[in-house]
Amino acid sequence: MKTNTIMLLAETFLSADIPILQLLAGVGIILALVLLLSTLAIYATKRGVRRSRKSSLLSKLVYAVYIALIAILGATSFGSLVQTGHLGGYALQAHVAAAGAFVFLLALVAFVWLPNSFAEELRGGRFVTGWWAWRWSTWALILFSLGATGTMLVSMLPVLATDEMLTMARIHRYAGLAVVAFAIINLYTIVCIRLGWR
Amino acid sequence: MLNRLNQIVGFVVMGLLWLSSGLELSAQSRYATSDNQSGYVHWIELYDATNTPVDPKAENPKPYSPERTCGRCHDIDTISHGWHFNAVNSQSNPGRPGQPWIWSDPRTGTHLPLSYRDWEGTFNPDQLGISRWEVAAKFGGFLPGGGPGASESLQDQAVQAGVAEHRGTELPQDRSAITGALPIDCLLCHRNAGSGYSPFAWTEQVEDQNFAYAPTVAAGFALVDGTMARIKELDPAAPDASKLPKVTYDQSRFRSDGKVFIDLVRKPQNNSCYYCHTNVLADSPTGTRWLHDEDVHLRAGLACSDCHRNSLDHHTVRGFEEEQHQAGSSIASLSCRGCHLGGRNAEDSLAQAGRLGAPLPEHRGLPPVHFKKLTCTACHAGPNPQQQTPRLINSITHRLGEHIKRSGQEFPAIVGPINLPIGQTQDASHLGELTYTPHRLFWPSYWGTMDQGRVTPLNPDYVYELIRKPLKVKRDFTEELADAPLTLTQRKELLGDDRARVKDEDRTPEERTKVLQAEKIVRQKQIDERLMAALLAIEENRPGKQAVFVTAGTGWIRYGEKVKKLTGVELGAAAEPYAWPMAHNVRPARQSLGVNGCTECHSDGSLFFNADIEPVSLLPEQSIEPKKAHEFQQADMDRLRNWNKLFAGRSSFKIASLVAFGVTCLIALAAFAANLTAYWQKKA
Repeated sequence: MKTNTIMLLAETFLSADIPILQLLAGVGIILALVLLLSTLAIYATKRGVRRSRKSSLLSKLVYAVYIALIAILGATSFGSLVQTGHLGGYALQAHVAAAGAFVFLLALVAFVWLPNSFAEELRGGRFVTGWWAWRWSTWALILFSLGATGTMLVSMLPVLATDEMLTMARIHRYAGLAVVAFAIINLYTIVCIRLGWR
Repeated sequence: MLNRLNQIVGFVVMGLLWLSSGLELSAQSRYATSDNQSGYVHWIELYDATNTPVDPKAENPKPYSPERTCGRCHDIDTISHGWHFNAVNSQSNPGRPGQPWIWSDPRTGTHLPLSYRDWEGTFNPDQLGISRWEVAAKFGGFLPGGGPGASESLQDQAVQAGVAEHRGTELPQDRSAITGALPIDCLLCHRNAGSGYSPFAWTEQVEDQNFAYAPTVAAGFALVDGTMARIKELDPAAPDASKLPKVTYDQSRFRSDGKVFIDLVRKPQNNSCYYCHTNVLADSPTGTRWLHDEDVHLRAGLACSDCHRNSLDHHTVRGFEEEQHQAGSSIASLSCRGCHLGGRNAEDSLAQAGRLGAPLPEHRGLPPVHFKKLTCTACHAGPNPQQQTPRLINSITHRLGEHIKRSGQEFPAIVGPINLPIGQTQDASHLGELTYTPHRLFWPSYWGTMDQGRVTPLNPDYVYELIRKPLKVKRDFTEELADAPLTLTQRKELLGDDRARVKDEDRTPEERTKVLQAEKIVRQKQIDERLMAALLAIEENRPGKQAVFVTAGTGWIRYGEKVKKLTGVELGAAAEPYAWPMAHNVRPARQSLGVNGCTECHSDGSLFFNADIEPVSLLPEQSIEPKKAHEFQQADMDRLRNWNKLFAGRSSFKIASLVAFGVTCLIALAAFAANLTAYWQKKA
């Protein structure tokens, strides 16, 4: 019964073609509220201790490129959708080119960042695990990135019919939006950690 | 008070609804119908135009009138306003551009696309001073009658005045007082195959201006001796029977009660449509027809009229996407997309896809964006794309049906298919919204005047009268302008006295080359001189105007003592070809465009964007560079070339991407396992 309800909800969600403006506005408002309230809560309870362990240059570089690619992919897709109602022209070209790099970089990002997510680090003279918000947002970011990548890779194969491809495109859109949202959250958590708030 | 008002409004609405349904019912019930799917066997009496039964034994029997005969049981008035008859009706919905009537005059090299339907790129015959009667006489052989040749069209005073004004100096030719109107011949479409009805006979009779006699001869009811074309004067009120063509009925066709069996069908058969709608490759007359396949729908057992259907109103469905039916009927499922890709519509069962067993194409792996950018026919219709876009011939333009020897290279040179955007816009920011569909196109050629860079064509008959002497062409403009043999004196100068009279086949190769070169110079001189003289003749008759001959997207004007060629840029819209969408023959899925992969279109040099299209000039010796398809497509080629680069090595990219994706998944799984272990260890 429960499974059926979940399936029904999933089907309804996947088949729903939510207008992009409403979708972006909804996600944007929720995200802004979350970040605003988080900032207030975190700032009020800040620990004021800077972390001692530093990331390697490679992991910093990989992360920076990864975030830059997400920015390009988000801007080209959602920007184009908002502006013209569809993804086409030079925006599509830039999106496809960036997506090519994103697929390969994702493996590196997962390798550099995921294994460390539960590792303990020295902070204030004691070993602690990373901030849960950072850990979970990293996982969400990678998993939604896998979702966004996988849906397009499957669509590139001659296996899906038109209706299935449209569903896949819709999942890709939602997954892509989730990637952008979690990239912002992840970046935010890193900034908080850098500032020593967490 | 409000309730009272509501009641009154309700009664009024109900009353109006009842009245409208009553009117509809009365229209439907005006004539008796059999309503049996087996059809009605037509043993009926023939009536002439005066509504008198035809007596085949009478001394001077009149031809039968389909309008009077069929009109006894069928609502001819409604039928006569359908798509095939309403071109002259300004109230009719013109729909998307279609095949024009091309007014061809081989004597002056004129091929003008005409239409009353306000299709951009065509010319309205009324505004060229071509009378409705002339249009009926010229194209009526490939029309089912009525339309421009209908009584109300011929007798329209306002139209007549407008035509005369645009004509020029003389009155337009209108012999409708002698020939009468061009009657609608129901059998042209509704004949049964094997009934003996001959559309060729219809065409011949119309060409002889035997408008009223055409249905009788075509149906084979009678033989007609004589032509109305020879009659100079006739009193329509009391015609001299001795002047009129003589009708001799086949009395064996008449039963003892005077009735005749008319072998007809309700739903027109394919061959009836083909008579006016044959479109084939230009090489077909050379014996290659057997190599080409017919439309997959016909092979599957469908008929033209299964999709291009109509009700009594004869508003035949044209079948393109977004078509709005003139009568407001539901036709959503009568287009390719509507029938194959449409969904279930609970409110309107006629709008549901899959009619007549239409399969749902899966298009596995084809990005859905293609369905926005392309119509179904872009990939599935017409001949397979070729580097050299082939020439095409069609019934109405090239008079297929007429028993003559033809090469297929007759003018005008129509080419296709070329995928062009529909709903074109010059605004580059909307390029993404264009939908491409295959078109046929041709470059008009005509004589006209140029005023401040704007070219206006002149009436073809008027032009002929002006230029026939200076142009010195009797039958064929291109052929006769090119015919420039050397005179004996010229041959003597070139080859010497001894060899001047030698026949071409006996000349040495060097002599032949010399003669060919000399002939080329003479030919060019002849073309220039005659063109110059013709342009001058027009300018003398149209003071203050610059005469121009437009052909193949170029123009020729008088420039001092020489002729000067104008480019397409200088000519503007006058240089542009007229293009109209095509939809047949539909190719099977395995022969569709893109079946071999993305790079069939997404590669530099793909035929979709780079097929050659050659404008064919009516002027001999004029060589014109072939154009590329993208020059007409409003395509951003820089963007497309960039795009093509992304498709290079796409197969390898897919494999590498899948490997990278798999590796990422494995890393994620390993990380998950590692983190889970770390978590349990910490907890323990």
